[in-house]
Amino acid sequence: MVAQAHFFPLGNADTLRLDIADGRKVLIDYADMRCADDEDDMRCDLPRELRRDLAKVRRNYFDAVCITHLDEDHCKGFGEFFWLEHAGKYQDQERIRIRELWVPAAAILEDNLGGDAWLVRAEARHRLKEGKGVLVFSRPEALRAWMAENGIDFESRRHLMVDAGKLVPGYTKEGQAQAEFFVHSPFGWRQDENTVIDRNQDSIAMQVTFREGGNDTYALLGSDLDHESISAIVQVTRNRSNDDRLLWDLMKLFHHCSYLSLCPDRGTDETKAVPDVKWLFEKQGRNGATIVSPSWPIPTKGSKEDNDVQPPHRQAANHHRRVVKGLNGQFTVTMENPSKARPLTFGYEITAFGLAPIILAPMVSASAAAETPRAG
Amino acid sequence: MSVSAWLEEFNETLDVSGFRHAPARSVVPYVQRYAAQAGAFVEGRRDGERELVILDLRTGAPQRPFYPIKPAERIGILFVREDVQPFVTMLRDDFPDTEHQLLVPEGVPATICIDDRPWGEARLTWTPAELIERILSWFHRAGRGELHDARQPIDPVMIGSHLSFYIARSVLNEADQDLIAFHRENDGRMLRVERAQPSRYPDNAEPFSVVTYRVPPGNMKRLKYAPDNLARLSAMLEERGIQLFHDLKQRLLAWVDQGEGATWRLHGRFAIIVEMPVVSPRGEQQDGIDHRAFVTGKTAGDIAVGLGVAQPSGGHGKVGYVRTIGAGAPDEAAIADIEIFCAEVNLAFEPDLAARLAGRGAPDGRAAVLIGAGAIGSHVADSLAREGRFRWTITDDDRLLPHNLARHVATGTRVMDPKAEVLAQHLNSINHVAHCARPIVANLFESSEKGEEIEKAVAEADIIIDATASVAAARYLSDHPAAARRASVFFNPAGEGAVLLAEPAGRTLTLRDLEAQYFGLVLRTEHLRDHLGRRAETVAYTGACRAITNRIPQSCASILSGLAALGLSAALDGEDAAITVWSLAPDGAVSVEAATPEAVTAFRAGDWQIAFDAGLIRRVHVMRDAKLPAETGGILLGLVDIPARRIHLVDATPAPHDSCEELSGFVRGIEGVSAIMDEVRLRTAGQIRYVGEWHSHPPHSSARPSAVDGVQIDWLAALLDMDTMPALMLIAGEGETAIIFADQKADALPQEPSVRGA
Repeated sequence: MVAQAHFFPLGNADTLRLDIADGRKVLIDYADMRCADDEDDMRCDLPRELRRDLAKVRRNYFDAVCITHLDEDHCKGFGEFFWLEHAGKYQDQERIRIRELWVPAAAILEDNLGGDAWLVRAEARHRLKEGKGVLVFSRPEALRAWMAENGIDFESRRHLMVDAGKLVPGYTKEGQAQAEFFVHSPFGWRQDENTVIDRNQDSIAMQVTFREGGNDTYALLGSDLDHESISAIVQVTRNRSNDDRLLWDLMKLFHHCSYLSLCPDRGTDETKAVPDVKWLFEKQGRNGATIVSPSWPIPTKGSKEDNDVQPPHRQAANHHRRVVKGLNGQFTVTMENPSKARPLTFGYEITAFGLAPIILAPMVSASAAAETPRAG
Repeated sequence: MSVSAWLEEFNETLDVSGFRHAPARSVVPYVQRYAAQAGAFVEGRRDGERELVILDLRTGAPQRPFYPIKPAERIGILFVREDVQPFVTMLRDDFPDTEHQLLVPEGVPATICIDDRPWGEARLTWTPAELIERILSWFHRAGRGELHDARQPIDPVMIGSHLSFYIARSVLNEADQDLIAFHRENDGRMLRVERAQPSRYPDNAEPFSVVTYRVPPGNMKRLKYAPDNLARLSAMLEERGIQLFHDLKQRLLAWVDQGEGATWRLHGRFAIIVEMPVVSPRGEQQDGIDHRAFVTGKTAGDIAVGLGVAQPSGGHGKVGYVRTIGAGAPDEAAIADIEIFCAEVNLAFEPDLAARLAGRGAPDGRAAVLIGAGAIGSHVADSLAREGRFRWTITDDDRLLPHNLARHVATGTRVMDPKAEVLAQHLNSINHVAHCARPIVANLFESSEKGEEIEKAVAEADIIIDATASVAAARYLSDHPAAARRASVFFNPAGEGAVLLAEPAGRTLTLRDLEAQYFGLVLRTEHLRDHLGRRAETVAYTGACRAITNRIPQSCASILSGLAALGLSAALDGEDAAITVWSLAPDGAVSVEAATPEAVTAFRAGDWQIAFDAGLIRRVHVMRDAKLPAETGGILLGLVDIPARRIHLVDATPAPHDSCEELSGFVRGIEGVSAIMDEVRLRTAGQIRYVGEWHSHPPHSSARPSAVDGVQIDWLAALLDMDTMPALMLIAGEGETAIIFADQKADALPQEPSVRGA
């Protein structure tokens, strides 16, 4: 089977499901944002969508769940949906299991957490103590002190740490997975210098390479990085002549289409990217590439939302639209596809001919097959 | 003409509710309500009866599509009539040429083929969802290079013409023929074009004039559109290296000059048939040849007038046209005005088409002599001829009687005619190649002039097929000195089994060898216990003596013949020998038993020829090994042809229970021997019988007969003399086998072993 990537309309929140060629499913972030009581909430019922997909392949687990950082829009509902190893109260049969949890070091080290963020940390710490079912994205030394304090043997956990510039173990594009994950962030110098942890900038960013029919297709998964972090990644990568590690055919946009991921100034109609970010967008995007903005609809000029400090920012969107136009590509907003009135989950197929949107004609049979009607 | 000009024909704009065609009316709400992810409704258009639903459809094309399909394409779904499937047109001028597109007239947008079912069938389950799904699936395959059929079919509705031709390749291949086109009464759409006998012609026919052009492979190129007038056709052919007008002028002028002899042609309705290789949109030549017919409404003479080489004779002379004196200028406007209609070409059923339809690359033109035109022979020949096989000679001296119709391809009108003639004509009527089959009404053993004709056919044949159901005939053919490879097909007596024996190429095994091994298969296969033993019920068809026939239903005869034909085809396509038995159960289940043909060794002794196969030697040595160091043995069974003085050893039985198997000797017991012999006779319809004895020698001993063996062989020789047969004794020694032959005239032992080495 060919690999697929699925996006979900969740407002300003991230969830991406990667179905890779060997059948494994990797979930990048989990943010169940929908307000179940609000009929006008157009955000999707994420747990229902994910369960339905798992049911199709008769599974109750994800092979990997990556929480890129601990903001609510990346982990909301984590404790509701998943089977958590660290406490019995999160272990009923309905819950979805996680074979391998991917978190940044910050998710182990951070203090003053509550809610789902606390649960992610508790689960990650538990798995690290157990020495299995977790990968911590970090320079290993960053964790040494904390582990010593908590009486966890460092050397025997070393294989659970994935440093920037390395591939996530267990996935190769030459092997059955036909995919590899190259880690761009978090990277070392920032953590060394950080005294206060900045979640967004310590979040996980990766480039996924999919190989199909001898051709590679690249997905850049940006998390919530700002222009400074992106620039740093670009510089580090280019200094090591790893430019290819920043190629992209599919970009999951940074921080819900925020101008701050491009430069410090919003601009009037189009944000002007700082040079390194400009290079990333304009030189590394390949012909026909797609940018997906996991965000609310792009505000129209002069609207209330247009003046909001929160993303998505119209000026940033205009930047992205110009970029994809130059690439003969597409700019798609999760809450606008196919329409703002009724956004739907959508996906892409990774073919030997590159990225291809999955377009289906809805069928009665397919819809009926996906439902479990009950009669009383 | 561009897409926008074509769209302008639809001068009425429709909104969602404006469509009159029910399917059109259902597509729009489906797209709007349910398929927003797939596309959006743009507008509706109408031109008289024709309605167009215009959509912007997302194609799901990959980043680097195989064909330049855009992420979204504007398409027009054209509804013409209730009884015609909707056409899916691509509303941009530069839509790529791909596989699975109709050939449409110039100016009509690219039209994709999304459904190969007849509309009458498809509409029963048609939903707008299915339509959109099929379009999306087409885009999906186009984007990934997964469309494969490079032919460019024409649709009568799209090209505005329903003409369809039926013509033989042999007619196409010959120039300057007088042709006639027949059509069914009140239906001018199907034309059967044949060679004409210029004279009067019936109401349902007209003189016809066909000129054929072949596009050389070097100039192969896909058609962009279906030309609709002679000027466009000429331009199309010119791109492919054919100077249509230049050639036509010369050809037609020659006809005019020919005078009366060409009258028929000059007055025939003029058509051009273009033969060209099928080419993929990417310029690769595909399997198959495409024939495109372009039919005018004019006579060939009128075309000559248009081209400026002739003029009407104004009632003078019989021809009706005369040569233009001086350089006549072609009337270009008139030529451009000559409408042409694209027509389907149905090539007559000829061996190459037959072969293709049967799933093979090329016809099989080998010369085959079929001996026996009865039930199995007629059915097998019918199948093979329809599969494009063989130039046939059919021999049979029998006549078709009414009861034969129960299991024959013949029709009742042919009763009392010779079967060979009936079958040959039947094969010729299937196949358009003249004289693909010829009859010889004679008996195989006849020494008359007809017999010589059979001899000649057999001598010149590549393949001889025995379908006589006669053991004598099969053996006669086996012994015939001709070089051809031989095969035999027959039903078992009960009519629920069919047998194929096919010699290998090079004839290292003969039909006689295979016959013996077939009996061995029957003997050793429990499933074939009743294969020869049970007979069908018989019916007397006249009051005459021996005028009986079997009660076998045609359904069984045709199934079993079909299986035999299948096996025969496979065998004759390869080099190997075949021994295959098909058995048909009452519920229709078919079981297949096949024996691997074994190498045969033969030797002459006196005026007898003795043959045995490697399988027998192997089996004997297995029995010897099992009893070592003691000796063992049993009886020898064989196929005997007394008049031909031949014995094929078929099998050797294990030692009876009361045998004495010792280190120093073997005494064959008698327990069950009589029962075995009865069983063998029954199972092989009396063909296999007792022919001698076998025994083994102890370890490190040769197969050389001992003094005791000498006594036994003398006893055997005396015994078998009763049946005017020689005695055979087989001895299995260490690594060698001897077959001792003795008859009453033989010298006393010791005799040399005839064969060494197992």
